[in-house]
Amino acid sequence: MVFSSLLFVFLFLPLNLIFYHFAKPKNKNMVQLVFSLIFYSWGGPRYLLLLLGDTFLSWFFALQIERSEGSARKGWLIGECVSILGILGIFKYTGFFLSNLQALTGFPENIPQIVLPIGISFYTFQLLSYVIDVYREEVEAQPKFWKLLLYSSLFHQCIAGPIVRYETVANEIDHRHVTRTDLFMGIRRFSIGLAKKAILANSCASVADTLLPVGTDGLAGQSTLGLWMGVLFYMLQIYLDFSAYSDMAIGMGRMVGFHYLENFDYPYIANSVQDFWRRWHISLSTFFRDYVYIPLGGSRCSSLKIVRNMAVVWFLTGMWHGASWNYILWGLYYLAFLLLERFVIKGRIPAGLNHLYAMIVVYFGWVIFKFENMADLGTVLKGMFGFAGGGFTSMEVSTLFAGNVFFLIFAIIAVTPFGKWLRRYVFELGKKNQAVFTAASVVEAVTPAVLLVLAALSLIGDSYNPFLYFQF
Amino acid sequence: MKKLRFSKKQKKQLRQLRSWGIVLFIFTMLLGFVVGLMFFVRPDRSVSEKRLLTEFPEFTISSFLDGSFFSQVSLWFSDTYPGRDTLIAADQGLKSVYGIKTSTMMMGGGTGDDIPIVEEEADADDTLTASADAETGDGEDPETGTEETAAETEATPTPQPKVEIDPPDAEAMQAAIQSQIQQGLYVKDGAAYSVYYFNQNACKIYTDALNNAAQKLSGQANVYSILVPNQSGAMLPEDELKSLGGSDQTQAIQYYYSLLDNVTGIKTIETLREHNDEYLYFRTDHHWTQLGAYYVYRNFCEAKGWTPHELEDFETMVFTPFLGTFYAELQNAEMAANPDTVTAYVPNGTNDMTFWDTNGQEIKWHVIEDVSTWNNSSGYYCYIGGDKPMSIIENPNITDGSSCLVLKESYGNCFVPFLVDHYQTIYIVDFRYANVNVVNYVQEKGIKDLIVMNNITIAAGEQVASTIAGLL
Repeated sequence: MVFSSLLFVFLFLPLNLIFYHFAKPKNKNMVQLVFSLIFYSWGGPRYLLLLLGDTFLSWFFALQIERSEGSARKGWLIGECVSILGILGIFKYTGFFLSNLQALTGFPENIPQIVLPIGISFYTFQLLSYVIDVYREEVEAQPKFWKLLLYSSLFHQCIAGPIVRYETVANEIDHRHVTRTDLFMGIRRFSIGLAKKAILANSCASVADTLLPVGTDGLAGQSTLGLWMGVLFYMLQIYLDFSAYSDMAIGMGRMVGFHYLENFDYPYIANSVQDFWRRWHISLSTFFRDYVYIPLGGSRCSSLKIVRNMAVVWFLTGMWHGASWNYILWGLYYLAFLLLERFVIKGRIPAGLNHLYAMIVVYFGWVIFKFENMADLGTVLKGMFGFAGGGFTSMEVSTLFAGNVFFLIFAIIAVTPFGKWLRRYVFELGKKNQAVFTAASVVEAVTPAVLLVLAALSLIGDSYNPFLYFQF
Repeated sequence: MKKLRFSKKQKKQLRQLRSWGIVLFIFTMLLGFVVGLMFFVRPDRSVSEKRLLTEFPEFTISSFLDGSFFSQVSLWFSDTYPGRDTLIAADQGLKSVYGIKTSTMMMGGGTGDDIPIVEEEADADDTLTASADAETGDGEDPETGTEETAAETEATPTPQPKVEIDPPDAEAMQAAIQSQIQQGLYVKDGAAYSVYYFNQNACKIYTDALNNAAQKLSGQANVYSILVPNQSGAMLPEDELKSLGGSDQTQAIQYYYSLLDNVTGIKTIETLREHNDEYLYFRTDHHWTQLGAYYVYRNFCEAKGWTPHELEDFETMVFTPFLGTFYAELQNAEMAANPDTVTAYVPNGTNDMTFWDTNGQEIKWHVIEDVSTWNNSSGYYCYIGGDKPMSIIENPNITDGSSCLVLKESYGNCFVPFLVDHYQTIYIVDFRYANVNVVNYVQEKGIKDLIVMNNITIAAGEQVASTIAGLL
């Protein structure tokens, strides 16, 4: 099931909130668990076994680690890593590995088609972080299997992030309460996320998909300006889409008393590539920082080792996003710019220009990210630099531009903290002017309901919906 | 960011308004929840989209396990949400603020194959017919061959036409046709024009099929091919048409006709262009008007050696306003302000006909049906009952045993009424919905003329061309 579907918004979530609200405190977790398992099963119940299996292994290994001493602890940890990363590897990378092997050696003849289980990249990392944290004695192992299952399967974040650390919610699994402010903030965050996805991201997607059609033939016939505009809309889409999912997860968590950490911090106002990655998919970057980069020695070692550590992290980051060379290339592309920033640029690009530089790097990063097929990628890059089959521009491009010009401006503003600033500015004014204050608070109070209605309108009959990050 | 600090009074007001905000949001969500549960008011068809909506899926173990059952349920839930058409219209109203709708627009677009040039009529005829011969000789599609023999053994002589229906295929093809028509759509001053893209493969399948039929019916029946251009080819000035980037329809039709062997191609585009200051095509719909069909009817009469009827000879029925498929797709305000008018010419011989619907049920109908009480998107349905798998018109004033079979899609609907006064019996087969071997049928019934009539854009789809090939 996806959050941005009518079934979720008008059936699943209301039922969940009703049951949750009326359940006795000791049953509230059970309500969440049952709803989460139904939510997960929606995409095909057989993958539920995998989620249950991974969780069971992690539950078991964590308890063993806690009970053991000395080198046995490490043994159990290795057991955890091998087993659940092995499962991830089999389901996510077998096809990729075998097709490369086939290209090199001609063997094997048939490559098995393995469907990627929904959310496996996210819950594998969550469980891994839990067991490592137990090993590091940063958290206590969860004695009850079903409570750990609640953590790994909770529908708020199970299938598309953020990657919630166990330590963030460990206490709240058993002790949480919801204030009126929590409820309002949760509702507001959820409705903002829903509208962001249903209205902004989906509209961006429809323009991007028109301009960047599937297949090399279609791309070869596109005009230069069409390609540039298509990538711009894609760049907006991918942020709006993914951050919307995190907004909804954080919002729904807050409604029932969970406080998940922020996953995005306006990445498109970054003024360096490093800054971008501090703001983009924060839960993934911190995962790699805490569990790969720092254990390897981080940046407190020789320059050569720093390069090695960064290379490992960025290779893995690319790989995590998908089993295809373009994602690995995308990770290494960022590695190149991060090394450049660390050893050559050293923050010497003047203010203003540095933001432009960062956005250009990110923009081309999305080109690499978008096209899994290298022939498509080549066609697009060639086309963007003047060798497009469709000439410089076309009437289709100008029609799309004119037809979306206000939307484009709005979407660009929406990826900046402008809304936040504006709200603050108005409320600052309101401190001295009661009329402004009243108006601002009324607007704030009706916003969630209005956004819900607008998003629902957008969702009805909107065939374009699946979240981009599902495939990861 | 520093926290905003408000006075006590303001804090109280904020709390109150937030409570109201929560209530308003929950109320809105519950409203959506309750309306969603009202399954008895769920629509089963969309008037604005002219399609049946998703049905509630049948439960099977396999569809449950692979998740397709639940994904269909999700689709059903949003596709048939009560008040869907109204809500979609509201959403489209909102989306109209996205940008500027210029009066000249281009939506989508593709690339056509190069059309081999037919240089000199006589010369070209020789060489191309020769090569076409060679192709039909040894290059005959083995699949088509087996299908035909299978169909031949299956065909049983029954008093009523035997029609086997395969609705899912028809639906898939309908969708393919729809996307083909809307692949490149040029909009100007409240009228839309499909751009045409030539497809070499479809052309070969199509012309081979016709030649094949002509060969089998040699000495028994005449075969005619009528390829109708679409509105862009017939109506737009040359230079404007060129700037749209599609394939040249005059050249394409010439090329199709040049590949025909013992099949008479009826002149269309040249005549239509001569008259293109008249109302030959609808502005808001992808069909031609019956006036357009009339000029092609005159050319057909010339080929047959008949004297055509004059338009004054017919009684007319007028249906207005008519807002067709293009309007449904684009919701263009200029179209709404200047809707189309459907003028229908009632045949003199008879206005009675019989058709068999997709369930094989026999229904008495009218060649020109009064649709004035139908909704304003139905104007074109007045002709021969719209798209029916099989229909028969018997003219009691003619007793010479003359007969023809028209194999067509919807472009043929407004052409057929002109034939009524020239044949004793007219059989009409819509290739999209019928599953009957047309060649056998023609032989069995002793039909004298087989007329295959298609819009050129529709014939350019390989799926359509193959379907026609399968019936011939």
